[in-house]
Amino acid sequence: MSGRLLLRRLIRSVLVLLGTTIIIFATVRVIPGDPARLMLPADATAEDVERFRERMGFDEPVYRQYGTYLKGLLVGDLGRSMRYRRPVLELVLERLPATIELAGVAAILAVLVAVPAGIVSAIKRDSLYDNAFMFLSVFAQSVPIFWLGIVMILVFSVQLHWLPTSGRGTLRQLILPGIALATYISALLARLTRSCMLEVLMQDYVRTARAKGLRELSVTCRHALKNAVVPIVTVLGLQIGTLLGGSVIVETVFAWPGIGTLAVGAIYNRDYPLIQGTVLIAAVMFVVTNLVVDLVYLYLDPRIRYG
Amino acid sequence: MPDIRASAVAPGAGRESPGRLAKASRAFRRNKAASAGGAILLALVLCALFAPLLAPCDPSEQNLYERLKPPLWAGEARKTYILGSDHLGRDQLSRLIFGARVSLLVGLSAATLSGFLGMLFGGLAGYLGGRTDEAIMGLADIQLAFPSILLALVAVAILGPGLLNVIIVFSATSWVPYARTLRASILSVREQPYVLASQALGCNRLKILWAHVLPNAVIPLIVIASFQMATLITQEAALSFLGVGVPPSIPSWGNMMADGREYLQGAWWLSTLPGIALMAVVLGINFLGDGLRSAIDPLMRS
Repeated sequence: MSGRLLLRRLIRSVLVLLGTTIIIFATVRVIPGDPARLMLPADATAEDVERFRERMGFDEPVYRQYGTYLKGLLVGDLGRSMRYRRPVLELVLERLPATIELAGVAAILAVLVAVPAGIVSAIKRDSLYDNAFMFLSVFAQSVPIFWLGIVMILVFSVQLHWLPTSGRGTLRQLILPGIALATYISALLARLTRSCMLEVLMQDYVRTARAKGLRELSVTCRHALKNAVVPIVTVLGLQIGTLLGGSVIVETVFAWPGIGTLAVGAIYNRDYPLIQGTVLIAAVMFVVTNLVVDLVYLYLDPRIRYG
Repeated sequence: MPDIRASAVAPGAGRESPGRLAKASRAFRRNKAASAGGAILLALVLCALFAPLLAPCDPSEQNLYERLKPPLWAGEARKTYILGSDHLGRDQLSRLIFGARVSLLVGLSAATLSGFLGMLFGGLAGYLGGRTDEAIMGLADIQLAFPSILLALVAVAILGPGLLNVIIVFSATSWVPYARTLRASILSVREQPYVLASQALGCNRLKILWAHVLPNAVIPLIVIASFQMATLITQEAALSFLGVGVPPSIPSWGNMMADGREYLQGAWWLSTLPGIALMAVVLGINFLGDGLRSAIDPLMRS
């Protein structure tokens, strides 16, 4: 049972990845003009262009070109950056740790703040705390992160001189971008935790647990939270996309040397191979994370395994 | 015959829905945050519509002698620049008022266009089922694998910056939630007795979709549209902030924030005030959407 489900899930992920490569492959080809010219530096000679066109097979039918592109991807060939004149994969792998660090810190921060806040809000439903919580969470969801970044720089760096404005390397440099990136998903996660807990707390097994005379803390943590965790983890998995998208902006505001700044720089320079590479990496990270989340469930939740 | 069919098609639906609607609208009106959100949205619409009348100056008029003047309350008392002036001596208040036009135009048109696109895709997927359904939902999965802001950045980089391109890109990339909602509604009512009954009576499927599925899905779709509008307004500002959205010649809140970043040290008002306007609008729309959502969700209302 479990094996077939696993296989189906794997096939779906592979299909989605194939789809993303088709879209990324197509982006450069929908631009009017010669893709060879677009993908080479402006000072490339006519001979260079001709050689490149031959190597990439731009004269061949599109499906063949896609085949060549896909074959390249399978052996890790994401093309060469026009600006840096280096393999795209190398550049991306160089910047990847910085983005994972930032997104990881933001995710941990969000879980640490949001889950307890959401649980308390659900338990004390309709209290003053709950109302303040709901207001704050909508507020946090509405703050544009680039503006939050600017205001934090203005207050904590320019005015108070507490924290550096940009760069990476020390823990102090991680604080502001980490908070900026964590804000939106914290709000989302907190509201979700609240609504999941509300739903679970109404279930019969929670009433039974209470009727058995268990302490409220044990009811909340051992019986309710355990069952509310599944949807919370799913949403966190889906938020990887939001985190990566958000890091594009946060990295730009704080000059954080990650994939986001690499992508924005590539877009400014019209460095098409690098644009394709960064977008592909973002999509791969999203698909793989969600696959892992689903596999973890399959292991954790017998209803899904045998359902 | 037609009257019999009508009563068979909608058993109880006609009786129940006015009551449900009335309850929902009462719950909505009692929600203060939602009303405040509505007021903010109304203010945005009025600003956008009557910008030339409301703005004290021409938003593009430069006055290099009056550069970087602080707002009225923060510096020398000057009547000319209520919210200060920017690095080219343009009036910040007028630019904010005109900037509302870009935000509203992008938010409203992209949320509407992507809504229609999503309803078309979702309708086809739910209505036809089978291969079409799998293909469309597969496309949705692929779409979701890309961070939306990155996708928009790349698309605008390819199409070139410009207001129309931003709207096109946003419309093409935010249809998924609508499609999923409509598809789910179709699947959930497909086996309902009243739908089976109308099928048995020979109602065609398109008519069933129109008469029974859409009315139930309309309010959730509007809720999604309101949240999408808030997201799209923020994204437009983000794109313009990154310098690839609306061209600098058009005053937009994102452009203003990007311009002001250079002068953060001395002229804090340049970057912060457009952000406050943006946040107020997004907050207002979110409160409105939240109010709508809890008004239609009986579980949350009780």
